[in-house]
Amino acid sequence: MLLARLGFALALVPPAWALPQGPDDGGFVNAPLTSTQLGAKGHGEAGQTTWSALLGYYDRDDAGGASGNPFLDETLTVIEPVYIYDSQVSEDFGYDIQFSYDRVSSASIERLSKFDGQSGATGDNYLGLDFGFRHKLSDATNVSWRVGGSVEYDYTSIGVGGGLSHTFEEADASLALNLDAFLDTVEVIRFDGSTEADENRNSVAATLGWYQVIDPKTHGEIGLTVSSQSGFLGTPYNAVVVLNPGDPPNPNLANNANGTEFTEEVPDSRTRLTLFGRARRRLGAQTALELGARVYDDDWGIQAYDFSPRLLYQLAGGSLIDVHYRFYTQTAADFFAPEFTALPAERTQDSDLGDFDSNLIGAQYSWGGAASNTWSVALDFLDRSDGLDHWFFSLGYKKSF
Amino acid sequence: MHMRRTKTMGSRLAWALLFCLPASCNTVDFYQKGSLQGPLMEIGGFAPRGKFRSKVHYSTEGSAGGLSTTAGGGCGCY
Repeated sequence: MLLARLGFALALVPPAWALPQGPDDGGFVNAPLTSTQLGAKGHGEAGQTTWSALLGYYDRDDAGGASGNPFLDETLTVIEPVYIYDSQVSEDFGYDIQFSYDRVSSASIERLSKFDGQSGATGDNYLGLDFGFRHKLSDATNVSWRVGGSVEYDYTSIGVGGGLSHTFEEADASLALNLDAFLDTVEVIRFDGSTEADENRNSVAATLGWYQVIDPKTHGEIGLTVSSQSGFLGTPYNAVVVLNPGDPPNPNLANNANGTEFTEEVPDSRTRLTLFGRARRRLGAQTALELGARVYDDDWGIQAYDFSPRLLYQLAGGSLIDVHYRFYTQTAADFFAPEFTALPAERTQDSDLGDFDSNLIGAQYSWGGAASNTWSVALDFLDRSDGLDHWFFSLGYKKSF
Repeated sequence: MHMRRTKTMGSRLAWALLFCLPASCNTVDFYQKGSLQGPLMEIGGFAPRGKFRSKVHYSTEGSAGGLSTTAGGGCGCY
């Protein structure tokens, strides 16, 4: 019902369109991780090359396991550099190369490192490399495809994707369809260091997107993603604790609870549905406002909503200040419980699959404007209702030549 | 039960999107397009930051998909 009302509300937007041209730094259909780059916006002129780099830092404190899962210290620190090289070789062809690396340090790694063969986290060192190619079929139609992969201690992934976009000049809009697939392999190393046979995790997703200029000062985009996953969908090193007052205190648990750990077991299939959109409107010569929202549902019982307003202000000299907020709420998976006293067939205590709300505030400052070199810094803080607050910082640089 | 709910929700989403498509078109003249240009109006922004932020969110939340994200697969995060 909510979504039907959303559809009617959007249909009331005044229909006046124009199609802006300009460099594309990644719109919603350009999920840089693996999806193909499509959309109404161009990638610069023929011969233009852009090199973008970012160093991200993420920190979450959960000393003693006081927040989230009470049996687990979920302290986590991640350092992630990302590099994107993009070249518009000619009017009809362009390509990009994306490289990313994660270095994860966490209490879980330290906790589990005492077990032979278990590094702790599937992301203690992550390396990802993706290649994307785009071709212009006509003045209005573009096709693109992508191939890539990633490796971690106990996880490997191969991804492919393709997309098609068409511009409706008379409507100043564009329609894009993206398809992505991942063929992943999970080395099942359990929380106690025991191993099982490798398992597959297969994922396919389709995204339909619509970009629209609404009036001379407003443009936006809306999309729908449907995805399906099958195979081993849990986190191998996760455990659930079954409490029993008759058990002795368990030193492996953050709170030394009287309980025994068992493996996490989740369904071997998952279907997701996501409706999302955002619109940006110029409020004045130096100010713009963006509103974004997303609605999510899956067959694990998780429903989620988020709302993201963003206010931008351009300073003299081209510097840009971006202040943003994000409210997020989700329900718990059907098989999630903060505590177990029995052992059901499907079970998880992963706090990321529980019910919680979060509020994020952040700011970004960029300078260099439309010049060939642009720097940016951003700081975000997220307050989560289960206590797993975190903050993240990033420093970015972009050069066009 | 949840598959049925997802299927019903999918139908509703499809109809909602259909109503979102414009029924009439009025183009904006070329001289009016200037307001939509430039970093101030660029939707999406800096791609590497979108990638980093998206990974932070989908690695720490139960949902995935949407703006600048994949919807499952590609890493052990989710």
